[in-house]
Amino acid sequence: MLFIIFYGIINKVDVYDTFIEGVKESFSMIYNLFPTFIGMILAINLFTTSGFLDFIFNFVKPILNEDIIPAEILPLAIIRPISGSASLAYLNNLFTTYGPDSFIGLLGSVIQGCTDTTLYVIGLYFGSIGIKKIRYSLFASLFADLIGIIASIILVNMLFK
Amino acid sequence: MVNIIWSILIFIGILFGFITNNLDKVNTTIVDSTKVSLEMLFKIFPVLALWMGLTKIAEQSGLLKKLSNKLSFFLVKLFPEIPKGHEALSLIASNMIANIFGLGSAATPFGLKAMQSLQKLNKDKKVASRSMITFLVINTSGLTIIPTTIISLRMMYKSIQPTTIVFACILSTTASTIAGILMDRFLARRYKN
Repeated sequence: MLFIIFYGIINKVDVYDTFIEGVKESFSMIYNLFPTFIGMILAINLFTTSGFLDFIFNFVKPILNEDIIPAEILPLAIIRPISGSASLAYLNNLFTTYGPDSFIGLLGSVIQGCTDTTLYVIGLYFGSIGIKKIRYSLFASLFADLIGIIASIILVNMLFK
Repeated sequence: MVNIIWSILIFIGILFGFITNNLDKVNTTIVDSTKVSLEMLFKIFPVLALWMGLTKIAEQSGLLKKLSNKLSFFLVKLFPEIPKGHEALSLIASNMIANIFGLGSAATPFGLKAMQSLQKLNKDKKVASRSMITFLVINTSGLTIIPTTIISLRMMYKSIQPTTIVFACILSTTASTIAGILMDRFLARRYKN
């Protein structure tokens, strides 16, 4: 921050006026974001609290090799691209139950760290400029998330076992 | 597309709340979610305002241009549709740099500005352009080198080695970013026709 202002002064920019002008622009941005926020968070929260994920989770559980992928990690992997706060809350739970240095704790940390909240970012970035047709972006992003999660599972198994 | 995703999320949410007898929870979620969104908005507004101000200074002083020149080799390859020297490139570069250093809150304003700038280049204002999608995929796959939130959470739970996960995080996020870019390239080519 100091560096940016310092660099501005050296290059003879009216730092204060420019700063105020920039801040002004944030109002119109928030104005555009507000409806997107209300809409996306409503849908995401409904989805995560409904128990649908538990349903899927019970369905997949028997076919897992729990030595490599502990069942407790699955909900995290599914929620991560959908909701950042929900997955962080879930990671919190894992840390309380198993501890941050357990295999589950480590794997959870890496999965949480390997990707961003895809749905939120798409909603935020496209919503702010009024894009209606997002084309193949969701598919490509979710594919990246999937690869990230698989990579995390392989890496944690290799490094911490 | 957004219409469909939005409807599916809500539909599944309410349907499952109904099946699992969780309708009370569904009701409170509906009422609470607007409150939660407002709280989140208030959380990012001040940060956004501050960084938008600083970005403006960085923009006017030529700092952004300088940063993007450093990254321009990669950026030109990734975003062939953006004209050289366009402000979108410097904004994208700043967003990436902020992301890489784990300054998530600073990355978002840069990202939003970059989107606005890409929208100016976009022919059909309702349809996402190829550059937008590439930029988005890179952002959603999370470029973070230092996952500050997770490290601090691990410290909170008294981890013996809170930073032991950094190496694995860097590798897995690199894998997901590369996979995302490749998939984006592949689909961009298919969708052209």
